[in-house]
Amino acid sequence: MRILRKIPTLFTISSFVFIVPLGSVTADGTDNKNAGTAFNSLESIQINCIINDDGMESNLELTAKMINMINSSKPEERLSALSQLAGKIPIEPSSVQKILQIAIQDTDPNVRAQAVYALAQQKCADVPLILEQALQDSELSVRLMAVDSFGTDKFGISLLEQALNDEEQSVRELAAMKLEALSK
Amino acid sequence: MKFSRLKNTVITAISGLMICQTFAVFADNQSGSFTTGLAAGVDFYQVTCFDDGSGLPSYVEAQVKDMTANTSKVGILLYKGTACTTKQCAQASIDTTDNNTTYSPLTKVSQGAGVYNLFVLHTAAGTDSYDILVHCKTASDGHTGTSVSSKQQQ
Repeated sequence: MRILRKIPTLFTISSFVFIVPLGSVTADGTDNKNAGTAFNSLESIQINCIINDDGMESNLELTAKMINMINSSKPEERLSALSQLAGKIPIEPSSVQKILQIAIQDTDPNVRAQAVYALAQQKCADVPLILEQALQDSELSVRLMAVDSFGTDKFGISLLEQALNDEEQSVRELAAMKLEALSK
Repeated sequence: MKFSRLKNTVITAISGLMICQTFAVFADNQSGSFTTGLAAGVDFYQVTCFDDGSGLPSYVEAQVKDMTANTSKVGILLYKGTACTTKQCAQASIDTTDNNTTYSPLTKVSQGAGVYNLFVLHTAAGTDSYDILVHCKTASDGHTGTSVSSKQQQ
């Protein structure tokens, strides 16, 4: 009987323990970003990205590590793989396409945003068209990364001008900053 | 007998969760991201240094890793107090290379126990995620009680 009386108390404590971590997850706002996507502008895009290795020898161990990271269940690991891919790393050229194709369809908008930037840095085919598509994404992070990646050619400038009308202040701010830098 | 087994299971589960919770609260790294993307966005944390039995706090060390490769770079500003003549009250550090896994140079502010303010900024509008390593330490460089709480997310 004493045990029966204790069980509800134990459940109350355990519920509290569950509620507190849930509260801390939403408190920093990061969980909301992973809640799903209203419109993934990049969902049906097929990447064509066979990079020029510039004579750099591929590191097979690093390539395998990057493939593992992009398939990780942790968004921060997928993000880390893509941020490294935005730089020059000795990865097997044929794996870049596989990694970016997976990343561009990721459910996490921050991962998709980083994929957009990596695509532009790796100078994959059809980058201007992909960036134009990314500018229509419902997620702020994807649109910001598209604006950050626009080139300085005529098409890039027309996309920057288009971004000046974005609903989010930060997108307009970044586009204006880039246009101002180009006018100097 | 059945209740006894149930009671033990529930207690074990709760103990496990409480241990996880303790690590979450006193973990010495703090991840975040700029939610508005605005260049003027500032994330603000408070770091409380206390003696957890390992010794009296003497200083705080902090560094940041910009986890998003883009034009904008993430930096931190750590500060406490206004008595800045003999010991620095504030130090800043920026992670200028954001496509690797290394952190920015270490910042160190020696203002004893209590609450330190830690601001996270970025250099331009953009998407930015970050991870901060922060430790309260004793005069003999041992790790001591560290607690981080978020006050503002932008």
